[in-house]
This record gives sequence, C-alpha cells and structure tokens, in this order.
Amino acid sequence: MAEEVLRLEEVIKSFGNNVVLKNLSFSVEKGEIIALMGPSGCGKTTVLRLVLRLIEADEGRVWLYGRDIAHLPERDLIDIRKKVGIVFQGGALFDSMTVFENVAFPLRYCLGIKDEEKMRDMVAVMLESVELPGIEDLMPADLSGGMRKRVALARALVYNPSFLLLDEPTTGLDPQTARHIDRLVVNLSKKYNVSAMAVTHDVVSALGIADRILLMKDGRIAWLGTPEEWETATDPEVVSFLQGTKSIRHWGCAP
Amino acid sequence: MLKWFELIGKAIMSFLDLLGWIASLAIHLLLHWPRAKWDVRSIVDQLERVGVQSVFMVSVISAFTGMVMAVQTLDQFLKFGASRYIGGVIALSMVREMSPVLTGIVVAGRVGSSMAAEIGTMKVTEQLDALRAFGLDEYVFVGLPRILASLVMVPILTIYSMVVGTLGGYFYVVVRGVHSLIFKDSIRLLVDTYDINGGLIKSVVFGFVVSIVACACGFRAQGGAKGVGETTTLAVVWSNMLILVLNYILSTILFGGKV
Repeated sequence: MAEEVLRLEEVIKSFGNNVVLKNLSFSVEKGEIIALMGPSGCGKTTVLRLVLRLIEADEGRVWLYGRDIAHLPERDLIDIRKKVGIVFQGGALFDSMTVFENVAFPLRYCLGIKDEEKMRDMVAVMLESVELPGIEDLMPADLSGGMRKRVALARALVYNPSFLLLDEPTTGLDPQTARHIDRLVVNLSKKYNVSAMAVTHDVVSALGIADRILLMKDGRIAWLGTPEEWETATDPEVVSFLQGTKSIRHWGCAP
Repeated sequence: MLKWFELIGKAIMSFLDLLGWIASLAIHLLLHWPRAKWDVRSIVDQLERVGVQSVFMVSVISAFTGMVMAVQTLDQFLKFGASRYIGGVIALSMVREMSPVLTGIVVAGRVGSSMAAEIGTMKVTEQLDALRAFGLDEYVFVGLPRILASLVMVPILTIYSMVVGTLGGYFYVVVRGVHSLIFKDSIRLLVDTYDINGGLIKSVVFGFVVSIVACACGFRAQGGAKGVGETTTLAVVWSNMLILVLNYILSTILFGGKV
C-alpha cells in the first residue's frame, strides 16, 4: 500500500451558519497529484487552508504525514509546515520585497540559510526552472499575472517540500502560460516525487496534471476518479460540471 | 430614539471589541517574541518610516503651534506685566502637553494609517497566510518591528517637537520686542527635568498606542479594498481618541497637583 501524505476524515467546517464542508473524507498518496474541482464556493480552498491549519476544522480529523494536525503543538506544526509548499491564488508574493527576497524567504526563515551567495545560487536555479531567469531584482508589482504565479511556484519549491498545495495555479492565465505551469508541476512532481493537491476550475489543466480528480459539490465529494474515467464519465454531476465549461455557442445561445 | 441608542451601543461594543483584541495582541507579542523569528532588518525600514518621514510634518505643526500659543498669550501677559514668564509658559505647554499629543496625532495620521493599510492589504492578499505557511508567527514578524520602531521614534520626534515648538514661540515673542534672555530665563525658571520626563513618558505610551492600534486594525481587515479602507479609517480614529483620553489620564497622574 502506498504511503499516505494526507488524509481527511469526515471533516466538517462552517463559517457562521454556512456549512462549507460536510463530512469530507479523502486521501493523497506519496507522489500523487490530485485535482480538486467544483463550482465556486463549494469549499475547495477551505480544504487547502485546513491542510496547513491556517483555519481549523469544526469536526473530523486532518492527518498530514501521519500526524493529526489539529492536536499538534505549534512547534511541531511549524516543522510539518516546512514539508509543504503552497501557491496561493493570487501568488501572495510579499509586495515590499524583490523577487530574490521573495524566493529566498523560505531559505532564510524555514531552512535558516544565512550564506547570501548560496541563496543567490539556489534562487537563480529555481527561477531558471520556472523559466524566469534574471528577474531577481524586480518587484512583484513589475510582474505580469503569469510571472507572479511562476515566482510563487519557485518560492513554494525552493526549499524542496514533499507536498505541494496549489490554489488555482492557472486561473486568469493565457492557455500557453497555463500549460507551461502544468508542465512545471508535472515535471517537478516526477523529478522529486512531490505529491500535490491542486484546486482548479481549469478542466484541461486538471486532466493534464492529475492522477485523480475529485469533484466537490456543496461541501461533499460528488465524484472521484482518474482523468481517463472523467473523460468517459456519465455521472450527472460530472456531466453538469462539464456543461458549464462549454461555450454558450455550444448550447445555441450565441447571438 | 431607539435607533440612536442602537448606534451608540454598536459604537461602544465595537470599541470594547477592539480594546479586547488589542490587549490579546499585546499579550501574544509579549509572550511569543523571544522565541519567534522576526525580521531584524525591517526595523531599520520602520525607523525610517516612522521617524525620518514624519520630521517635516512634526516641524511645521510644532513650529506653528508654538507661534500660535505665543500670539494668544503674549498680549495677556503684557497686560498683567508678566512677560518674564512667557517663555516658560510656552515651553511648559509644549513639553508637557502639546508636543507629545501633536506628535502622537501626526504619527497616527501619517504612519499609523499606512501601517494599518499595509497590514490590511497583506491580510486580504493572503501574504499573512503565506507567512504562517512558512512556519512564522505573522503577528510577531509583521507587528513587532513596527511597534519597536514607534516606541523608539515617537519619543525622539517628541523631543524634536518640544524644541521646534518652543523656538516657534521664541521667534514670535522676540519679534514683538521681548528680550531673548527674558524668554530663556523664564524657561529655566518654570521647566524642569520632571516635566520633560513626563512628556517623554506620554510619548512612549502614545507611540505604543498608535502602532498597536494600527497593527490590530490591519490584522483584522476583511473584504478587499473597501475593508482595507475602513480599517485604515478605524485605526486613525481610535488612535486619536485613545491618545486624547490617555493624555488626560497621564496628565492627571504625572502633573495633577504639581506646581
């Protein structure tokens, strides 16, 4: 049996009266990429935030590397967070820092590296791998949306995490840049055996990168299977979701 | 009528809620800063931001306040033949009350607002979440350099304001024909070290209030640009109110009954 990186057990999470996650259970295995899809507001991003305990579950358990993160002391939680890289939806680059300082941030504060020369080299290699060499001195405000996401990806990968969380990594990007990011995620996952969980609305991206696709609806799993199964699925939830991805021209609504 | 009571009740609840959050943030910083990682280099940026960038405003406001005090008091003093006390009265007002309060209000308006807006933006753009994801305590990492910088720079700006304000008054009084030696002697007569220390104690308290209120408001920002804007306004309004209320309390404790 493959080693589990993440397991959610009957997780319930509410915000006020709005129950976002309703008894959600699934797991991610080592080296696996899982894509979380579903309509806006179905709780996908909430799952990502629960994994790092940026928010806490009301009920149920979240096991990360075999440890129940709800009951971890802060010190152990910090150690376990260092194994996880996260790319936030908007990149969440630190506005007041240059690209170099952003990518070097986890090296400085997670790994405690103080050697500036070594950091320069590591950042340069990582920026090269996301195909953005030589932009170390730019500020985040100088970057396009696609560049910001790639820098965020470089920052998430620079300290070699073994589990990657991606919040809509291709949203708002042109198809070419989106596929470039997909390729990066798959290549890095294969090269370093990194597991990943990607929240996305982009079906092409999910089919391209994921080993399994999890479709969420109203805080529950509506469908779970491989990309091959997805493409031939007749499940009404999958069909209904896919209808929303087609052009209105397809349904005869075009002017 | 009921609506008015409701509005007043809401304002009081909101203030008490903020005070509770400020207290818990202060306790959190106090307990966690020795073990948490924080960016020592950012203190330099914050010192420059709180101090150097406020110098011009503090200069203008202090100088003109000193001059206005001279305008308002000189004729009255001349009428009662008490012109030999004018310098001391202006300096005493600046040292004990005007400089700490004006500097606090300037820093709240200029720096506190930008601190709240910056932290609020970091909150709504998930930068604070990113810090937590990297295993850092975002309250210590972001808040502590700002609070330390205010604790250092507000007293320094206050001393500067004391000097500039008194010089402003001196300038007006001397132009009106009072001898400069009389002005200087009256300062020696009426102002002592205790008064300066009292003003500095106030400035430390106001520096802390401005920065912790700005941080507390910023950390609670919600809902995009509108939320950040509201947070910024809230930080300035509550800082100024707290400065004026605390100034009364501190004046009573430090100077009440002292001749």
